[in-house]
Amino acid sequence: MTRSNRLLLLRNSCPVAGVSTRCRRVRVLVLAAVAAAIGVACLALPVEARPPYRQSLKKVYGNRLAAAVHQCATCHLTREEADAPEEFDPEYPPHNMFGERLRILGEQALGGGNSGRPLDIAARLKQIADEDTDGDGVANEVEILAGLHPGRGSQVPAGDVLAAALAAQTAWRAETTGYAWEPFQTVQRPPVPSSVEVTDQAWIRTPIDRFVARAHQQKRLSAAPPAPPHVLLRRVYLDLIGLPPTGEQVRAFLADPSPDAYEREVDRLLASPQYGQRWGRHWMDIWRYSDWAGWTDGKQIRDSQPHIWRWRDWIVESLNADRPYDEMLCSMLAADELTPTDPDELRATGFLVRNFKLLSREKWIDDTIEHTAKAFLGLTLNCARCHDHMYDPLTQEEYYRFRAIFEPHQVRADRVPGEADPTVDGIARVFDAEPQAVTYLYVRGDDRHPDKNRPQSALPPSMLGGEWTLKPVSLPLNAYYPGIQSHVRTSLLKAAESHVAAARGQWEEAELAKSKASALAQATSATDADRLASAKTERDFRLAASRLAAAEAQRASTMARLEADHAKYDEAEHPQALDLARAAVRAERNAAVAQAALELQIAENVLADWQAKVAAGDPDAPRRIQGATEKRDAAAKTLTEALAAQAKTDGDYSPLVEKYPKESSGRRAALAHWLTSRDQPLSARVAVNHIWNRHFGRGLVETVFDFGQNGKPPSHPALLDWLAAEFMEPTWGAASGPPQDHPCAPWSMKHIHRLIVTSGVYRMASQVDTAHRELDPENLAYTRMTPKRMEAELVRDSVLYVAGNLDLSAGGADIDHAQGFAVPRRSLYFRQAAEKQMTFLKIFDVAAVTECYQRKSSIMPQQALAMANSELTITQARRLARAWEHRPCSSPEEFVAAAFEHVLARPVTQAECDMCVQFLHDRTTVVRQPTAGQELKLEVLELKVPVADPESRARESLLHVLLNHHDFVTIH
Amino acid sequence: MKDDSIHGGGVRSGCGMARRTFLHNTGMGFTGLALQAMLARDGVAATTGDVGEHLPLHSPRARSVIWIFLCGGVSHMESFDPKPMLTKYHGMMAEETPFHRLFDPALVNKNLVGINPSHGSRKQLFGLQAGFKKYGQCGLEVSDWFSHIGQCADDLAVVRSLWTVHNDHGTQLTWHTGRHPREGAFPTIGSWVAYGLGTLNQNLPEFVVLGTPTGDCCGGEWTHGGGYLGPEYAGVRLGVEDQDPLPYVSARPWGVSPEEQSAEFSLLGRLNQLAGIDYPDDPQLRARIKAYELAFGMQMAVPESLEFQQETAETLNLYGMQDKTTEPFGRLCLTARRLVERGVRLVQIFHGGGGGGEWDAHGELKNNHSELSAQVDRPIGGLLRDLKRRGLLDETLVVWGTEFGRSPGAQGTGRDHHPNAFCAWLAGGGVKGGVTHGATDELGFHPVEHPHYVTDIHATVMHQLGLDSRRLDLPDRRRLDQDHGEPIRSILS
Repeated sequence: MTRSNRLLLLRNSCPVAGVSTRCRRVRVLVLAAVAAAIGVACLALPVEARPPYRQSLKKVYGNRLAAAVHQCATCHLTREEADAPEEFDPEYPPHNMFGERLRILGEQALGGGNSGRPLDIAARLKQIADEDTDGDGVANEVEILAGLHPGRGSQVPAGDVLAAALAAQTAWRAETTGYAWEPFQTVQRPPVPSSVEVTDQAWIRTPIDRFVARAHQQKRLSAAPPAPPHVLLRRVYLDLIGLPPTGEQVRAFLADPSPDAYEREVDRLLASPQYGQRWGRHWMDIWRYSDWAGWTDGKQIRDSQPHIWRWRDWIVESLNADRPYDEMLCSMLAADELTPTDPDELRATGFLVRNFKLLSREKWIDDTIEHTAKAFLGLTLNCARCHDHMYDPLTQEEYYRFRAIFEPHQVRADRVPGEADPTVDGIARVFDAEPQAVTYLYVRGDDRHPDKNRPQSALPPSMLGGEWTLKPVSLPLNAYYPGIQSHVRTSLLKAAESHVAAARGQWEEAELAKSKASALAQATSATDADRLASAKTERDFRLAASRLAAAEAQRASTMARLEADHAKYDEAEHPQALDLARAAVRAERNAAVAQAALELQIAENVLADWQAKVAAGDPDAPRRIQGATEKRDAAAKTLTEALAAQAKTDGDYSPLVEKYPKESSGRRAALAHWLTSRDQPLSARVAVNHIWNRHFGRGLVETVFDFGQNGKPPSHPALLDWLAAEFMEPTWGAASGPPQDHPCAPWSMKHIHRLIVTSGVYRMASQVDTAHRELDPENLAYTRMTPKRMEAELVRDSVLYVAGNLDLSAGGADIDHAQGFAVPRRSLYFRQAAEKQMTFLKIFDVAAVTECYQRKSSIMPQQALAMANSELTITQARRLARAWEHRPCSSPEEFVAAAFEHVLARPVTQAECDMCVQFLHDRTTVVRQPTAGQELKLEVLELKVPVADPESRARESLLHVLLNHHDFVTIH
Repeated sequence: MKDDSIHGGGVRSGCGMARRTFLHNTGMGFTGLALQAMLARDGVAATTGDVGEHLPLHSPRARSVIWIFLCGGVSHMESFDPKPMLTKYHGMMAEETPFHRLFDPALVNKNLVGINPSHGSRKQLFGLQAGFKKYGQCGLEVSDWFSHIGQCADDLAVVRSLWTVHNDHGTQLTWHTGRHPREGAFPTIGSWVAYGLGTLNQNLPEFVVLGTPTGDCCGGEWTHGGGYLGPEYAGVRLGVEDQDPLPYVSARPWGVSPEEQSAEFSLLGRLNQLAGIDYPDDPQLRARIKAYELAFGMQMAVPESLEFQQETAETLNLYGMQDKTTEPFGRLCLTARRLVERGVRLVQIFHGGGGGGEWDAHGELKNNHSELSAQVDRPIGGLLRDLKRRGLLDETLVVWGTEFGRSPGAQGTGRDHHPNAFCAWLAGGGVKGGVTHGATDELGFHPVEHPHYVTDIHATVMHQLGLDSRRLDLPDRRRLDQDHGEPIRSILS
């Protein structure tokens, strides 16, 4: 079991689900170290050694790093070199001069200076590139590039080797003196490249284009021509509102000669409520929206919470209102501390509520940490749960400091007006249940081993300048005690009254039943059965009476407590406050007695029922008697206790609804403010990168959730920094456009959208010739637009939309995911949770519920089946064809042209038109031959069967084909 | 646009393709579809040999896998690892027996992560609830509840020394991915096989799932998912009794005749190819045209593979199709044979799925296991015999497994979860018959000989298929040794 155990330890050490690839790779490296420690591999390294340091060498020097330098001995002494070989401990090989220099640099950085931010090893390597650590007369970097160890004076490059190394250094530096990408340093706005050579100056429309054009110029690439107007229009419609333009919209756009026709379309789209629904879904991916998951119809909520759809609505509304991103972040993390009495804003904390996990608080908190860091900071902080981060300067301790931010919080549901029961409807939100909660570091990340000697205080990572002052938040009364809100009082009273009414109804029924049965039983013809039935109705009546008494007592209790609350909270020094409080105590205890009496009556009835069954000879009954008797006795005991309590006069009444702590820790508010400060290096960079990613299908940093050392470096670092700066401090458009149209508010997402979609880069054609494609096969330099496949929601919504059947109404509770074809609402409004996703959407790679920073866009035969055979496409094609029946009679050519324009938003080509006209002709002829189905006379609205008329049926068929066309699901 | 790959692999972005090449590469196009459809109708599998990008890395012994999974935890002592000591000490507390040290919590919990405390520490020994007989020349002891499988003893390699990492039913996920359930979705064995080998039959998915899978509590769809390999490598569920065995496999419910549909596909193919002439380099367009061709084939091939009209009465009987107890699972087993015959790479059959799993015999183990085994024993035995007589067993590896064993100690009249030890068996596909490998102690509590983590079973399967799992690793998803496992070489012939 040796191997298994060893591995299991490692397994234990990183049990976080959905852990990024990075973590896993790291573990493999650790494994290599383990292998080394047990004497398998080359130079032994202790487990604690950081093999990624070797990675750092590789990271800095790339392919120029010789294998001889890419090893432990670059920084460590070997046994032969050690001063005392007999004391050489292969698990802890001492550093050589070079390694020691790096180590000391790291310590210096930690001990102050450099704003207290530790330098990562790559930065340290750069810092001592020109030093000659081993004193052999050749600089470290030259030695490294020569493939010699910079920490060994005995190795001195000379002659050709030296010349080659110097040449390599010159070349290498020329390559790397571009823009310095420092994602962990505060964003500095880089200058927009002023003079760039492009073949067509008109191509340059926004500063974005200048950055991209400069890169084209450096790589001797050229931009694709602009996309044809109808292609551009369909692209920007689908991109901004998730719906294609209608035929009329295309025609109007093509006919508009004004130079700013496109810009005006963009403004119109951004102002459309559909924009929030489209981009809301994007952000729901990134912020991991999930409806609740669990068992037996909500009796056991395992993941997320009911009513979390209000968070979805908050996202959509906020986007439509162009709420600043920083404000949104603050509300999502800490609305309960920042705006504690604003129920609309409390919805935002759904971001945290979503992580709820019934079965594991640990996983719940881990997910919260992991995805807060990934979504907002682009950091894989989760890797530091069990050990210091292997790539980024994040310590394990910092992970737990970050955890401390969330330690006190819990979820709850607040009441909404008109509903007393928050399980039926409510606002899912967070609050600090334990403001003083303490966090401990878990040794090796194992929650069974908290290090109780070192409580961790809530702080952000130091590499991002982590400092703040924590201020606990005093909450207003109606935030910690919702019982004083008038709508809560109203609905509690209403609920109590409707219980009484229901109980009274039951009582009346029971009384009627009792008197009928009693009459029967007293008649001369009465049988034993009649008498038994009468006894039973007698018992049922007693039960109903008890139930009514309990409901009335409960109502009295509610009213008394309401009055007492009113005296206590609504008025200062209410003269009768004390009396009312005493009355409330009495009423509550009376209600407890009535409730206990009811329970006792229930238990007695059950017992009596079994006794009646014993008498009737039920073989199962005798053994049930004992249990029923025990329950009856227990209920009797409870009643005795309630009566004893009733006799007392001391004590206080219980609050009408739960009371929560008066104070919140302020930790999340501190995080929110820190995250959104101008100096915070990552928030803006990560956000604009998400936006770019969802416009172009690839982020400027491709690993949108990892801006660290192990992520991919940005393709256009200066552009990304410029966009981040522009996001926080907008300047573009202020001079050019009328200010009232384009208010340049800080952190405005619409501002970034407008910058992107009006750029020359965005307007390029996606289809280019072969020669062009060969120069930039992956389109890394943005020499053209990359065609995208519609996301799942767009496929479904667009099919419904072109058929004129999409219900564009906004908001509301999640719709059953099984109703996807029956209810024509937009897809984002359907239930989306573990195991609760629409099949059709799943086939098109809908967001994974647990994590979806990047959508997949596979192309699979199941998708072809879904488009070809599903009720959705077939019935919607028919709906459209039948709607067109009422148009003036058109020729086949006109029909084909209209169909292409309407479904694909483009003109038909002659070859296509010929093909389709022929198809209509052939189909009409074939269907004219008698077939079984043709005799049917069908209602036009019956979409589940084809229309009888052969010509119409052929047209339905053609529209169905166009919904399956490559150009339909593709955004060119 | 990173995921342009399509089902079955083969389509990769390429540049500089001329128009002619484009038309050529999109296959016969829809003009050729009619022929394909006819072949499918005649039951001729369109075996194109168009395997995925990861050709077998060494000479394979198996071509396909049937991966049978019984949900809930089958008792190892009452199936393939009899422990007479349990009967001998029945009713005694562990402390009163010579085996009390086996119950040491440190030993018991050593490999477990995220323990559910409500399971475990059953210390009153519980005698065997089933009788045992020796079968075959090898004399393998098999419980009376599995006599039909027992009759195939000389084809079985029983592994008696498995262990896993969690004590609740989430380990159903572990059996398929090798990962702790806490870790969520990872590629399953089926998805690795699909990823590694691609398809043998363009008209059928390479990884098919039959039966009711594990419930949502315990891994749900993740137990047959593709994890980070992507949805194109996830198992495709076929409902053998449903109107539609595969979502949207037929347009007929909406009154679309096959002839009409064929005309539509034909027009669609020609329209898309017209677009291809204008844009010869669009890999997405090529992939989409191909996806429609595959889809068209699947419409015929999937229902055909689920029809038993051509099976003889004798074959149907072999699977217990005449008996209503055995018929449902018999249908799955026979379908599995038909699917591997047609080139499906891995058929994953679930039994007792939903919730924690039906085999979860906390009480009344005797009733539970005798009833459930009556449903599966005959069909599985029939499957092995049918495969063998058709010469398919040589190239088809059958694996029988469950998430964990059951406790040697009693929980009332049943047994609790037991992740410390359990058993599974393999048959065919180049595995030795009539062998047992590994052993547990006298109570079946801990493995004492050749302990194996579940991924060693995965590794054995991959090895027999000719795959080296390490070479399949994605560059940014390197896995641990424990994820790969080691083939159990001593059971290989």
